[in-house]
Amino acid sequence: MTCRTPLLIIACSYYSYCNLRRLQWGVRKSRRPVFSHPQVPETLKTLTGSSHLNGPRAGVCPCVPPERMLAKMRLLLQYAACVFAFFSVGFLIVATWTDCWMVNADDSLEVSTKCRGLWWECVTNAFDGIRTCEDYDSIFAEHSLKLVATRALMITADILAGFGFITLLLGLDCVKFLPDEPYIKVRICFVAGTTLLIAGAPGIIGSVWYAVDVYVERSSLILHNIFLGIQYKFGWSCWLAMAGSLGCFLAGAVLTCCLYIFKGIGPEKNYPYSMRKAHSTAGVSMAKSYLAPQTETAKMYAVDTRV
Amino acid sequence: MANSGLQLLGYFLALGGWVGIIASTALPQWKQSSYAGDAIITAVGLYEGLWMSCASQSTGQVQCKLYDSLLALDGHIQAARALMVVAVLLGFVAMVLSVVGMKCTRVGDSNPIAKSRVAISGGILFLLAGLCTLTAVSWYATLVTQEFFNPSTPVNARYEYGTALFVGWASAGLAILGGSFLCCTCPEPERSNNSPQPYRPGPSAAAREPVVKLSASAKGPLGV
Repeated sequence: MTCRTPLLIIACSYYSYCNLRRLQWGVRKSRRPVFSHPQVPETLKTLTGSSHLNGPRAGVCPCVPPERMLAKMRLLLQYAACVFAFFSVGFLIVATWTDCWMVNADDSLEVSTKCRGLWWECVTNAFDGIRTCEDYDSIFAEHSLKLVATRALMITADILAGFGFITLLLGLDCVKFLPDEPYIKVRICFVAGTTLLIAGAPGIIGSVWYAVDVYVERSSLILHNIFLGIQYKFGWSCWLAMAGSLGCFLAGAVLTCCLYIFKGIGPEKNYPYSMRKAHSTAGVSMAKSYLAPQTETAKMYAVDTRV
Repeated sequence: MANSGLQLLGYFLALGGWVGIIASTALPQWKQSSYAGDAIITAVGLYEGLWMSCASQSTGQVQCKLYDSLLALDGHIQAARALMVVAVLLGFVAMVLSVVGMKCTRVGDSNPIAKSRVAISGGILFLLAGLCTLTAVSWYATLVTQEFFNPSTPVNARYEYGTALFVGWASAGLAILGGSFLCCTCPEPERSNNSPQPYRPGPSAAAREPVVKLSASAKGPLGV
């Protein structure tokens, strides 16, 4: 998995890794037993504390260990990535199904706004507001390559980005999906980030291709001094698609980086197992603490029935 | 935990309903021209929605026009608009609330009673949104029916139900179903959390046990 990650992420992770080293220089000694001896009660306390981060008691402890700060930062990054992913998925889908990929430039002799999309074109009259739309000819008729390619690329981007977003939702820390296995959750986040990164690629390729094509068409017309009566420039759908795919890139980069912030501690291979062990004991203790009121009531019931 | 599954199911049903409500609000096909009877095959099909009226030509062009004046509109269109917009807003609030209140999220875990109340309020809002949609769509459909069977309407100017009405009915049903699922999960956590504290004495708890057993045993043979 590591060898397949893009160069940017590796650089990013290296940067965060270095930062981490600097940050945790002081706590190194106190941190080591965390993963080697999970039975130490203090460790359990910190671990359970960090897993209850959202509760109101999270900020009670006056001495905030850097791990907790890191965890908080990671949570914030996760939420930020989630918001970004949500909006970029929305942008991508809206861009695919709206009709203003190119719009007529102001310097043409028209009183109406003419928008051409991927699927149909619409003319809106400026005076009476009547909007006439027409579908393009059937798919077997001749279409320009850019149209077909952009359609395919945009739909691919939509599907991938939607899939990545749903995966990200499952991996979010505040969703109780696989609550006892934080390592798997982090992995799910990583998968979501990779999917979003992959989804950004067809989106940006499609929209930039379309934009470049429109620009080339226009500039060649101007260059050859041909005037067809109408000239096109990019419409807002094209911008939306670009923004959406950039947002996908951003969310994916944040997700993969924020995974590496946590993965960067210690040797990679030992990390998951020790982490899982520690967390499974933490999970048991959590389960015990959850069970406690139940056993009390159970005792009460037992006493009652005995009476 | 089965409860949590029911909540999730209800949430996704209601979410689908909300998306459908948005779609039916935006669609222009609330009523479309009818080809019933001896209407001649026309080159133009008309439809009308809440926001615009459209004419689709046989050449494949669709012309749409937003309604010009807000105040000159028919009362039922304005009412339907208002109801649909209110339904969309209610659905949005309900969506956020029930994400916070559902058991599968970790927000506000320390206070399960408040959490379940939030989930219930989300469910109720979904129910309300569904009811609003149902009212608007059914009212519109009633008027369309009345106009269709009104003898003074010329035959070739008759309208019948459009796609948006059916989408609206379906999504209202989904929202109501999902909202009631979300509400269904409410009473149990409150009962189990509240009752042990005020009622300390044993007999109630001891008495409750046989009742449940009796009802279960009584149900068994009857059900068979």
